[in-house]
Amino acid sequence: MLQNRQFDVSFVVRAAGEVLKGLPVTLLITAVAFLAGLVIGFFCAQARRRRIPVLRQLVAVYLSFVRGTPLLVQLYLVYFGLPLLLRRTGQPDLPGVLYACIAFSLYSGAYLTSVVQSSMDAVGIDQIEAGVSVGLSRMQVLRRVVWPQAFCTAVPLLGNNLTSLLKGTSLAFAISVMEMTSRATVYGASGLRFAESYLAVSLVYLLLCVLVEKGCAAAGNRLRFGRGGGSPHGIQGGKM
Amino acid sequence: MVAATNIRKSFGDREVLRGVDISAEKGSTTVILGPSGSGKTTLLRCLNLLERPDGGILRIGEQTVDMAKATRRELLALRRKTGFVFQQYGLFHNMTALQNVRLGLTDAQRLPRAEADARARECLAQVGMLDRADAYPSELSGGQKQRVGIARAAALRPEVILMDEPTSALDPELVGGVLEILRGLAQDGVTMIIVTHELAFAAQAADQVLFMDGGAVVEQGPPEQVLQNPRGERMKQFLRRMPEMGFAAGI
Repeated sequence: MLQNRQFDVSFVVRAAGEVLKGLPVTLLITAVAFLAGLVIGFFCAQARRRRIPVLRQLVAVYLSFVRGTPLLVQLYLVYFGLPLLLRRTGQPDLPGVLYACIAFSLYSGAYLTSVVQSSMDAVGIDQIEAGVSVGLSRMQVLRRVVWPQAFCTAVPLLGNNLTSLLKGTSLAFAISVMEMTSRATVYGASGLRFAESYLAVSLVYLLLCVLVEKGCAAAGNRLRFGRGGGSPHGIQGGKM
Repeated sequence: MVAATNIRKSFGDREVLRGVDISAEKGSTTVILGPSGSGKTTLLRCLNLLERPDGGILRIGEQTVDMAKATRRELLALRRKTGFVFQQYGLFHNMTALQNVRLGLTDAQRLPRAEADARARECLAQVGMLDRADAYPSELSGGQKQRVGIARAAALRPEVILMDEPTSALDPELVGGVLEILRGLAQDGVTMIIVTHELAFAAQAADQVLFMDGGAVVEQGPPEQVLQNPRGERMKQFLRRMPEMGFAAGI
């Protein structure tokens, strides 16, 4: 009987080995979604900051859709909806992992938009004016002054987003992508030892998240400009 | 030299500058006085185009630009002939003192790195901050920050350095040191236009003093005339309210 069985530590170890086979897929989806999300976030933030008509409204719709619907539903929408569109253009079906990458990119893009925007807004107008006053062009001010300071503010926020994205990729099991959680499920089913295999996969996620957090903390320390702290920003609302 | 004619600027329907004329000879020191809201800071920001004037003609060095139809390129070229010292220092948080001073030289003026470095150090030395060259702004006191701010503006070797209340954010005991540096720059023949409330400094170091009120220059002349024998009632009233006047009048 299932409920009479003892907890099997050796199964945890074996499950961990199986789970690690899914690690590349998990990391792939996370990395693609994070980088694509940064690009999306950057452009959406620009559209909002510079108040570009039409684009700005489109961004608002996109952001509220992603924030207002469950990630799992978004994943299903992409997985079942996108093939319908692709079929019309005569494209063959794509591998599931690609749908996962697209869905997670759109998801993280929405959240990273806020990160990029708030970090850039936190750079004081005084910093921009100072850059202009020494003769820099707009682009030079962005490159030399605004982005480095915004990045410093953004690091902890980026870390949070990266960990929640990393954990979120576990939902890809719902569209049969063989990432870590899927592997844990399948392996757990094979021995009817779900507790052991989910414990194994949870430990792997935990380890990864701790690594990300440590990395961000280290980066944050390195990026502090002097002992006075990371982002001593003045007045809010610098627009560039 | 700097010559601005009929500079006008409105924010919404509030007219902040109503056709201001100002000119400063090469190597001269001009002090702008006036009550708050008189438009003196806006005038200064118009002179280096942090604010774009609605109209007027601005000449800096050899370049003359009509503000009503200036292109972005012309504005940038004109601005690059100026240096600016901010009331709140405006040092780049993400750079050391040296990097702050050097940035405009390497990136805007495209000087070779070694030359920019040498000049930046020289300017830091001039304001007594060379030993803090590698400190970040967060590690400096207000007075030190403002010295770096002055070095940053001076290093550009601009036609004119514009200063917006350079000492008013400082602790009283730090004001003297910064004013000392400004006197030094004046003696070196750097053209400066300074908005300040330091009347004693104006009396001592200025070649001309302008008094602004309600978006216009209402009094103008050498300091002894403007500060001691002002013609207008508004200027007299202003001076009576300044605690330092006794000292300034005694010079």
